[in-house]
Amino acid sequence: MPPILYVDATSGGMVLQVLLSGFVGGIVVMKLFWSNLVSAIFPQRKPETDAPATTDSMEEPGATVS
Amino acid sequence: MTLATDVRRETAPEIRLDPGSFRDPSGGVIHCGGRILRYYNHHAAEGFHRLSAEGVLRDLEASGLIVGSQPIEPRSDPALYAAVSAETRADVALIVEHPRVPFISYAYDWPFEMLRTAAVHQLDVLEVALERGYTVKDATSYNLQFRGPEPVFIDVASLEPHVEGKPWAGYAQFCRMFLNPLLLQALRGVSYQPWLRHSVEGIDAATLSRLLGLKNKMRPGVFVHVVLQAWLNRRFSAGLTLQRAAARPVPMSATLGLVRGMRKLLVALNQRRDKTTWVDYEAHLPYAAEARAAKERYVEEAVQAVQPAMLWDLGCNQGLYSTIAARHAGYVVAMDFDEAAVGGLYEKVRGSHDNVLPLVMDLMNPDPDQGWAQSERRGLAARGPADFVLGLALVHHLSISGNVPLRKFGEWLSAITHAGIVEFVPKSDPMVQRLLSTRPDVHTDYTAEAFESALSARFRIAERYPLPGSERILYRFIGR
Repeated sequence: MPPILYVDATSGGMVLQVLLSGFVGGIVVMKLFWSNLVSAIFPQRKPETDAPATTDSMEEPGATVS
Repeated sequence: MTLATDVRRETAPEIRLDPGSFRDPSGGVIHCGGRILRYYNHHAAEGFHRLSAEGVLRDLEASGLIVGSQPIEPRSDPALYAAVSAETRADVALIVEHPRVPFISYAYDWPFEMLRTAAVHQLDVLEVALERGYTVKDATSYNLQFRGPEPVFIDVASLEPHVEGKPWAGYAQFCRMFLNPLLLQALRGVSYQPWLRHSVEGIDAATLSRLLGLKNKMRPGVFVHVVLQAWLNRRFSAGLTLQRAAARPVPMSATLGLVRGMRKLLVALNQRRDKTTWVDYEAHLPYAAEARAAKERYVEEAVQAVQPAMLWDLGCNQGLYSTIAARHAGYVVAMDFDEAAVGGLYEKVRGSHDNVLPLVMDLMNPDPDQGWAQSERRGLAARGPADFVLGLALVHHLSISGNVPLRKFGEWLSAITHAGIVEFVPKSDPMVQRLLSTRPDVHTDYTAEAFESALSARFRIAERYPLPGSERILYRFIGR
């Protein structure tokens, strides 16, 4: 027997979650688009520093550019 | 043979389906003697075994999020399985045993701080479950209980595998049972306890939305969870929309985002309440320090002598005597009608007294038996009797303010306890004088003699202790 949805989920609650997931997804896409646009227009330069780089930062693509 | 049968009949524990456990068709809670059992049907039992095998149950239990579950195998107790099947007339595939929660309480007994703690706890359970590929299929506040000041999720059968793309079915219920009542108090300063006591399904979005002003409606969390949800509920018809909504997947990351967003909103809420007389009462007691010290000592020694398993402090205020009693009692349920005082006590005992449960309870109108067939949610008397009660500085409020005859007070006391201490505050006391200053004194029978007579009708008065430096008298009484 499949599980029964015995709780009244209400239509508004369900639609709201669909809308929110779309909204959150939209924000992520917008953020991605914006960061790509900014990095295309203003390419990042490696900051000059004496501090030793961490393993993680060494693996960042930008960190290997001298 | 006859004797053996009779002995078996006498010793076989009574099996009773919990009257509040009927909504979920996949199983239910059973009382068996003093034990709390849960049965599962075949489908739900498979889910339980999977949760167990994957270590999810163990992890949730170890972190204190959910109550423990000890499976009882059918072959180890076939008689129990047969008895539970006969009582429930259900497909019983698995029975597990849970540890007993010392005292059952409901959201309408909890001050703001406790309901918020319970709400965050519910979200924590859901978040951990989602991260492990499970979900919680509903979100009623009745699925949470307090052991002392710490919340615990008790409806283990609510955990089920998460189906990728499905929205959280318990979301609207969570809003009705937790978020909306808390918003009502935080944003409007209106107590939710009377509302939840009347409406066991909580406060719906449309109702709350009507009560909020424009400024509050424009707050981001409120706009989404209350205003937008109420509008969407009105806009879409349930059946068709549910089918269409179900067709659109909601990624688990979005549900996790929803859960974390709601937790942030809840944590940022502050209770909005006026300062009541009773919040500062203990700091400005209306009698001498000598009387106060003697009263504390007397209460402590009396409770220490009895060591009651369950003690109720009736009219506890901010719990001065509850915390003293908790040193020697197994469990203390501290009750007062003043929500602010009980909220303060909760903050005080959380982290320091694991055996004190503070509750909002108006003793002039205690919780009734209610819900379906008036047995789903139990009234105060049905959750007793206590082994011992403290009724300190209480009787004059019930008798002078509430016009409760002393004889009736004695009768009520005998229905809820076996023993205890009550304090008689005479008419000459400044606190009684204050009560009488705004009403005619029609209480001709309000005397120490009449009080003793009312108490003696139901109990044996073991000791009469006049508080030094005061005209107040403490009575220690035990059942006949």
